[in-house]
Amino acid sequence: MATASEYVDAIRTQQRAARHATSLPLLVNGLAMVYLTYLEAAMFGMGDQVLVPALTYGVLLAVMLVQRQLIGVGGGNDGYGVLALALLALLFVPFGLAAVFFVGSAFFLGVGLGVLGWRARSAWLWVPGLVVMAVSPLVSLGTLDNHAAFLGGGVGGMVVCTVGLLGLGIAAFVRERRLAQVVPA
Amino acid sequence: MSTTPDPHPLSQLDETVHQRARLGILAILAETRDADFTHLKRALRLTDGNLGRHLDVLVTSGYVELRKASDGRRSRTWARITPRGRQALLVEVELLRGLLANLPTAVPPATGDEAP
Repeated sequence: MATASEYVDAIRTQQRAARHATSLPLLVNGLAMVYLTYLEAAMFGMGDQVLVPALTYGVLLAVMLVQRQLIGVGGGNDGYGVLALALLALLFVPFGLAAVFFVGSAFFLGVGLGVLGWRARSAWLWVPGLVVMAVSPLVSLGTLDNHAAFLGGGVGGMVVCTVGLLGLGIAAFVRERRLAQVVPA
Repeated sequence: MSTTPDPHPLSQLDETVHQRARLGILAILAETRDADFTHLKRALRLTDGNLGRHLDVLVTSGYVELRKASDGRRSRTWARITPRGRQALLVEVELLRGLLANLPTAVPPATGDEAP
């Protein structure tokens, strides 16, 4: 039998799995990346992208609230609503819009994942968050277009990140289903 | 002159929190913020009566709040941890970790392979 503190840690792991606290952020961000990749490929302007990060975390909050009603487990203390508001507020602070223009909207999706991963001490979230934060400026500034044609340029970079997020999200979901069934002893 | 010895750390454990099922309830609610009765029952593999009794103890101690809600088709009981309950759980876990950290490490028994 585990010690009491090990038991509490095991419960925490089980409950994070029960509410899909890893897979849902990855999958929702992955779907947002699908949209941003489409905008990049179709060469739409920044105006269509600026609200995507705030809306993504707003959608994530809504998904968690629906899940709460369906399975009876609360949305936890991850702060999805606070993240959504912070990313929205970014657009109204000095140089906020300019930051979005230079580093790309995907950068702020990565920031969100990084914050969630840091708070939860989950590499499943902060590592892909850092990767997206690194790739996004390379896309928005044209670096990948100019130097990574073999990858498909900026669109290729976005596709790689999108596939990565969705793939990780699916893997996390499978892992969570297994972990949620384990009853800590 | 005799001095009163310091109380053993074990005496500082809160019996309300220390009980395994109640510790589990508080740990779940600390992570999820709130959960319904059915989820708690499934997660901890408790019977209705058992869970109900433990929740009553936690509510009486001010560690958990219960709320009944209806989603139109069925009535559900939601449990939410209070700030006092969160603090009590934190104190319990820190106390137990401290106790474990102060335990001497076990020395493995001699195997008889040592040279004479």
